Amino acid sequence: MCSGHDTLRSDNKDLQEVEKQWDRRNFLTKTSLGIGALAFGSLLKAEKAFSNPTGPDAVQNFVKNKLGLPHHLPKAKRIVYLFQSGGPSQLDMFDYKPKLKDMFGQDLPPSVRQGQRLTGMSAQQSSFPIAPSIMDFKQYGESGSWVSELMPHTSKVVDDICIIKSMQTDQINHDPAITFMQTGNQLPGRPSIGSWLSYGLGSDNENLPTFITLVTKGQGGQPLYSRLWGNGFLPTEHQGVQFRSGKDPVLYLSDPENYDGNDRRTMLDYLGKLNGMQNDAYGDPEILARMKQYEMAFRMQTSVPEVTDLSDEPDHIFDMYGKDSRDPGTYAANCLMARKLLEKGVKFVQLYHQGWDQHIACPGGVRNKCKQTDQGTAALLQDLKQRGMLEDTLVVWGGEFGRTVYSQGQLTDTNYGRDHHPKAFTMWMAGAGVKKGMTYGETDDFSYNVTENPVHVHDFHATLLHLFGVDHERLTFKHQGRRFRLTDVHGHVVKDILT
Amino acid sequence: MQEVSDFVLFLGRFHPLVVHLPIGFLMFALILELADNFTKMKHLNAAVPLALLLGAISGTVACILGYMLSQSGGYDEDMLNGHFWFGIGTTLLAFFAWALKSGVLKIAILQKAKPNLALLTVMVILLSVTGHYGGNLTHGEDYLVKYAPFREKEEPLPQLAKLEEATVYPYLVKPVFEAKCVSCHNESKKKGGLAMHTFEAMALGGDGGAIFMAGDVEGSELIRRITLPEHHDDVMPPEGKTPLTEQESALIKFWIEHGQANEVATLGTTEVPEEVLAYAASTLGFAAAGVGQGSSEVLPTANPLNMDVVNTITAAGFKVRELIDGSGLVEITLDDNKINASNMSEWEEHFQSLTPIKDQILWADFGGNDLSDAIMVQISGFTNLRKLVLDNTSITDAAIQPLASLNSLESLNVYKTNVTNNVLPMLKEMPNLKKVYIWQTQVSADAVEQFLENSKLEIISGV
Repeated sequence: MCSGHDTLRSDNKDLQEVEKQWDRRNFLTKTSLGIGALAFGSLLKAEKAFSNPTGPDAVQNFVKNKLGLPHHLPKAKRIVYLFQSGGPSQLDMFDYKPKLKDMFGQDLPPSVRQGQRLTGMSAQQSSFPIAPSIMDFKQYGESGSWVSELMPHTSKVVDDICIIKSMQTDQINHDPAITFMQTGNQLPGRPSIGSWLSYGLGSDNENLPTFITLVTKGQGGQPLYSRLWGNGFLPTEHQGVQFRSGKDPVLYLSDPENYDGNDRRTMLDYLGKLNGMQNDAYGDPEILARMKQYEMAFRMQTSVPEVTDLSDEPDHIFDMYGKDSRDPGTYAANCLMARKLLEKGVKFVQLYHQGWDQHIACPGGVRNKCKQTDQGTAALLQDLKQRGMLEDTLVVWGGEFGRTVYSQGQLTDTNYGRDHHPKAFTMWMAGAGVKKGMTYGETDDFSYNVTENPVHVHDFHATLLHLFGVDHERLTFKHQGRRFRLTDVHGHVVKDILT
Repeated sequence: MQEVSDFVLFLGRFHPLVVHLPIGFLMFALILELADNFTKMKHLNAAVPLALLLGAISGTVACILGYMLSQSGGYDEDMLNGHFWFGIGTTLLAFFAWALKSGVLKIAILQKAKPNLALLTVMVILLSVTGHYGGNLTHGEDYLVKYAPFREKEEPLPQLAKLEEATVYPYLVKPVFEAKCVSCHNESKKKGGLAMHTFEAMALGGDGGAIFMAGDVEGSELIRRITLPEHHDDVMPPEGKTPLTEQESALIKFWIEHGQANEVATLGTTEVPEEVLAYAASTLGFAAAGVGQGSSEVLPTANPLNMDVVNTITAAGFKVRELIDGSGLVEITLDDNKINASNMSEWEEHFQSLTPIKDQILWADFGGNDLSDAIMVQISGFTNLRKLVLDNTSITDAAIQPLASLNSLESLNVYKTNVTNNVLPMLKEMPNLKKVYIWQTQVSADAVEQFLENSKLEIISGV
């Protein structure tokens, strides 16, 4: 042990100085608090033990799950989460409220609002005129689910999905709400859903990241931050990896110009040895994470170009996803890419589509957003289904909150704006273990309050984990002295929507 | 029972704390005396009177507090009397020993022959008896020897073949009571006059009457007590003790409402809420059941994974994933393009290596590979297989024939293979089959339509 330790020491004086800063003996010498130092030593060990739970090496074909997961038989093996960022208007898409037609322009009754906090954008309005949706709603499929004219493709797949009209969140502004939806807490710093799943269940394909994010290009709107797919306090290898549109889906994977990459394997082997020595000496779990990431990046040099190449897809598939799907980086193209990633065993694919924030000119805005997303969404669902993958793939569609029944700004016969609304909004889930052709939950005549079967964000998270065979109360990670969960101390599995 | 002032009870509760002082002092007095007699540390002798005096005084305080505590009631009368008199006896003896040792009392006959050593030994014996009574009062009579190696082992309940056969009280409810209630409600310590160590004792109720009424959850005091908010004065178990979990409460409610709160009702005799079923399954070792999935589907019981077998299988190139941790039930997958015509015979051998765990495979995915008929025969031996994915493989109708023996198969994926209309009749032979994926095969839409006229199968082709 000691001799091995010594051989690590460099002859270079400067390096030795740097190393001294981390030298264990040096540390013990300088801190006269012997007990404190011992305690610190045990802390380091504890962290090491906590931070490498899913096994020594992801390339093994059998990895004993050290967290004792799954707790019960899973229904889902993978998930694609189609996140509609900005707050899609449930009133113009799913939540049909015919009674509002007769209340056009009337002030929203205080008995409905019940003094609820509004955003600064409409709180100053002198009146809150009711704005019935100008969209035409119809019932579709055998299930007779209501869908508006904006989604002609989604309306064809309603018999495969479960529409939840009674979603509720605690947050009224974009960033805290989206952070809440993706990490279970409104403040940044917690691990995202995908990171929890990666941490808990590990990888199904060692050549690709477990958790991949795709953002529709050129949408603007509310910003998205990489912490939404971040690992928080979980070990770094569980963070989501964003695949970009265009030539390089993952930056710096392709070889630089004039380098053929032939000796890269040799280089990585030596680097791995060096890092291995470093790890033996210091035991910092981040060294292991970094080593894994180098190896992953190496394998991704082959796997990523392969999986992101859509040229092998037949025309009828492109036609199904719509003409956008031939243009990389669009929502439709990302849906197609998502299917390929899921086929390759990526556990969590997260799409983001921005711009659903229709404070003004809501009808035109929502129409435009639906045009960009409707066909791709429905095609992805159908494509998964015909390949037999919908059976164990969970599909989730939804934003961070809904929109108000009253008009923000001026209300006319053909135009209105809608402000943020956290107390009732619509999401849908489909596939693995979720009942199909179902509409769950009910809102009042104003789509303002939930009147039946509320589903809180924590409940959604609990249900999602449940479908993966995980008891949300038992997937924890100890950090800063307490054990954290995705659902914190909340959440109930929505059993009514499970098969 | 006469009313006792709260203040008396408040002081009384300090008895278990104070009582350890005389134990320590008097024990130490004996040790000092021994040291004096059998070692060279003669100077220690001088400390004996002090230790005895302190022991006697603290013993007196402990006796008084103990008497106060006994006023709260609920203790076994005989045992309490024993504890009471032995405690007083010990204290008096301690005073007596101090008086002798310190010279306050001089009795000529006792000045010879190491009298103090004998006296102190008797005193410590009395002390031990008192302590034993006290321990029994506090923890229950069987506390001390419950886990002793020489104890008489309780007859374990017979192993159940089916979850439905479990009688609710002995298998489920009683263990909860034993873990959470019996330490204060037993034969010797009957808090509130209630004992719960046997069904008969419990049925007698406590000072407030019966604690449960069969079929009446609302009217059962037991339910009221265990479901009160945690800081409520009446909550049971009292604050500081481990409360019942939500599942345990649900179980007891179920037992009272549907189990008629008797000893004989089984899980099979009535409709059982999912939550209770899940709890029952997990506590009785049926953990593999589809817990909380909205159905009471029962999974096959399997042996724990044999790691030697797993290592052989993974070395061959299969991926193995345990579907529920510790259940031994697995999913087997194979990456695309592993098997082709040139290495087929090799892989036929590899498939043989799956035989030792063939009953443990619940899901299997061999898509994207060439599969020979011999391999298909191997697959047909996976008796508990529920989901089989064979998409993008070389299989034809002949490969499907052997699968007819898969009685548990629910989902079969043959998308993008060469199967034809001829497979449709074969599907009928699989009793549990629900979904079949046939997109991009030779199966025609017309044939499917015709087939579905008298079949409930869900057949998914292209859209």
